[in-house]
Amino acid sequence: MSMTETPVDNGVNVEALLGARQAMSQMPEAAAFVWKATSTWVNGAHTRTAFEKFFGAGDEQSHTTRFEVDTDHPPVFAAEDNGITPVETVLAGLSGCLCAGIASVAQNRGIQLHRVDATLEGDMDLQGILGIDPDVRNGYAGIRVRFDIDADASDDEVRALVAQSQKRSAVYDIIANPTAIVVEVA
Amino acid sequence: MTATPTSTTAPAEPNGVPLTKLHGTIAKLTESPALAAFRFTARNHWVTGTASTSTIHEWHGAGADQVHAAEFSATADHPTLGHGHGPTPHEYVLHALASCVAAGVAMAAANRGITLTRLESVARGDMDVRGVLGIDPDVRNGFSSIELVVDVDGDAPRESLDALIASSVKRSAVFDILTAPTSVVVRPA
Amino acid sequence: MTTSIPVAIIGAGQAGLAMSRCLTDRSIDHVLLERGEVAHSWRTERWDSLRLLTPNWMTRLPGHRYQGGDPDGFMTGGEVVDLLTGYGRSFAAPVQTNTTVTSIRTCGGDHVITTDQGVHRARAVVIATGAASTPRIPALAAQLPAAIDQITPIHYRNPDQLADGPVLVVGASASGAQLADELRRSGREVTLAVGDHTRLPRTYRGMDIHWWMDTIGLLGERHDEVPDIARARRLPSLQLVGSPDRRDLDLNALADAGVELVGRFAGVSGSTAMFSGSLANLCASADLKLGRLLDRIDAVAAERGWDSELTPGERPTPTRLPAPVSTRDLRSVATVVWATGFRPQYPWLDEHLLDRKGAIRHDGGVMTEPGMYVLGLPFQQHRASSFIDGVGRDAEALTAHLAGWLDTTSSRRLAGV
Repeated sequence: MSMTETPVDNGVNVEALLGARQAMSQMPEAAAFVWKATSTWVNGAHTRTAFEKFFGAGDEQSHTTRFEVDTDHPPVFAAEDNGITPVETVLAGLSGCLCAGIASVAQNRGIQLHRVDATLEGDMDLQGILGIDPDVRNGYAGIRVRFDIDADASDDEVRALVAQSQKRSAVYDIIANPTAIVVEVA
Repeated sequence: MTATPTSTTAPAEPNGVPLTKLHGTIAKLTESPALAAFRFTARNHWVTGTASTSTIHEWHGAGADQVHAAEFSATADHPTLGHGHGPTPHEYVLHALASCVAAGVAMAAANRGITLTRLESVARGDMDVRGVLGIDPDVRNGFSSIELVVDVDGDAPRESLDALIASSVKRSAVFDILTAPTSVVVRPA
Repeated sequence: MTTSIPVAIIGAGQAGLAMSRCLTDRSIDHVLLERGEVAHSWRTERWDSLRLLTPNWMTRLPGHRYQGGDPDGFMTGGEVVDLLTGYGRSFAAPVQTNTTVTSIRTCGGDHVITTDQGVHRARAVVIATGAASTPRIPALAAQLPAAIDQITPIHYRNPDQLADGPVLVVGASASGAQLADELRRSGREVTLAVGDHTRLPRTYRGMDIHWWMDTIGLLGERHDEVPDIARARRLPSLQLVGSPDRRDLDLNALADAGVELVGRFAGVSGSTAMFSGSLANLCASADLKLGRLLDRIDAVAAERGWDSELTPGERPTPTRLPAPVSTRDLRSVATVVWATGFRPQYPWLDEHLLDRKGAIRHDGGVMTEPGMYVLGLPFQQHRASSFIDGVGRDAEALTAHLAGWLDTTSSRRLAGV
């Protein structure tokens, strides 16, 4: 009987990850990234945003292809619903970030994933953005994420994956903690 | 003398914003604050590596379960650590901010009778990735700062156009989510 | 006047004295340069009610064992001063008190130590100034309204010292949790901003948690055995108190005492404090980590056949999450206590000896400059390196290395190299 160990493969480029970590420990300037989105208003609440270039590792970088995303408001706000609302996009960003984190951490810990599903819910009292009640905030009152994960690991190991992915998540941090935003007019 | 409708009445949907309907919604929610409790939902499904797809369809608001006109999906990935199947999750955040402010500008303009001819913006987020890579615990994971440059043009003086942006930011849900802390609870199913 | 001596030790706390004892045992001539008296920081930088987190029997030092009648008790700060003073006297440690080092420079293979009491020339230097001397205060402290008093655990003594009114304690490790508890018990309104923390019960299955950590080999884990030493070295201190009633001091206990728990202090906007929405995850992480430790303890107990002698393993209840609070009007806060840890500060060392963060670059205590050593840092050679009970082991290892260095340099000098 041969003892072959099946290598864990979650489709994460661990070598690139560890290489980046190594390189940036020595050259912190390479770790300074600028991410960029370019938006063009279409009509009403409908906006189209493109992602193509970003800066990082000391140089101008490009995505493999130019991505475009549409946002709009649903008909209850008297809009045409040409895309998800901006606040739902925030949920998409959060889930994408946590999910990528879970895959990377699992790969690092030698855990094979089979399925990772998440449901995210954000509660919002519209009295804020509609200017009805100044004591109500504009953003989410709170966000809940529920993961459903099938992996070769114990329940506690899965919980630890989910916990660690939050500790290393950019979008989780952006949402949970304050970020300074400067809006300028061109 | 009889009143005759003029051919130059204000359009029903200035900037594509149906004002009457919008004002109707605001009036309804003002009267019944319970209707203002909205819940947005995204369902995420891991694809491979750092790629995952969120589908967004149902939501709750105005006192009822609702659905979008279509099931929308958004795929996020990483350009170097993954396979580049989509923009990164944090770029979606930039997009959310830019589009939230844009929708707000369009609505504020409609409210103030300003017709927009162009509305473009660039959102840039600075990030020291030593944070997410766990190299330096003093570096945060998220953006150290975000800059949104809005380029707006329309049939109003510059100050009026600038004021549209300021009021849109004040009412922006995404601006608030990013600038103030939000509780996030994550748990396994 | 310049004095020549083989070895100079900077600091006469537990680390400096342990090193001195090891050098004395090998008859290596040395001096301890101490800015104040022996155990200076224990005399001047500890609050009144402080007790050690480790039980009395865990105060072993080279050539010293606890002989008192209460091995499971916890020493007060004053008792630690007596312990260290007596320890130094027991082998006539050559301490030069009231001597502040202003610079150490390497010159012709020797180390020139300039102090406010003269200059020493030594072939080897051991830096034993401790890991808890300069508080780390977040930059946002500068944004607090001027009317708020700010204090760190180094200057805190007792609740009476603070102005009347509500207190915001920032940091939920040992210091923050203990001060929040004490201030709350004194009748104040207390809010505790909770960041990353390490939750531990005082006892488990009838035994002290430090006994367990020692028994299962956790405290003895070496720096080259853990996967990420940089991370291990910056782990927050244990959420414990060494009280005679052996009570727990976790977030549940603090909430029961009436302390309000909020997320990490993440920002200030005008006069409003903003707290991170990450509290749920930090509590879940701490609970999971605690579960892993208790699993490990249970496994060792079962393996050694102790299950029948020990009480059953009762797991602490999960941390109860408070309703999220994201902001607080700072105008209603009288005092902010920064229990946010310590940062390295060595203005008297050459920059090339330090890393980007100002910490000493070293491998298990051996610095990058030959003949220079550091002792008493967290997880320096093993997990208990910064404990009174653990520093002796590192001192013995460094003494062996240092003796080898002195031999090499002596033979080189004799050979005229």
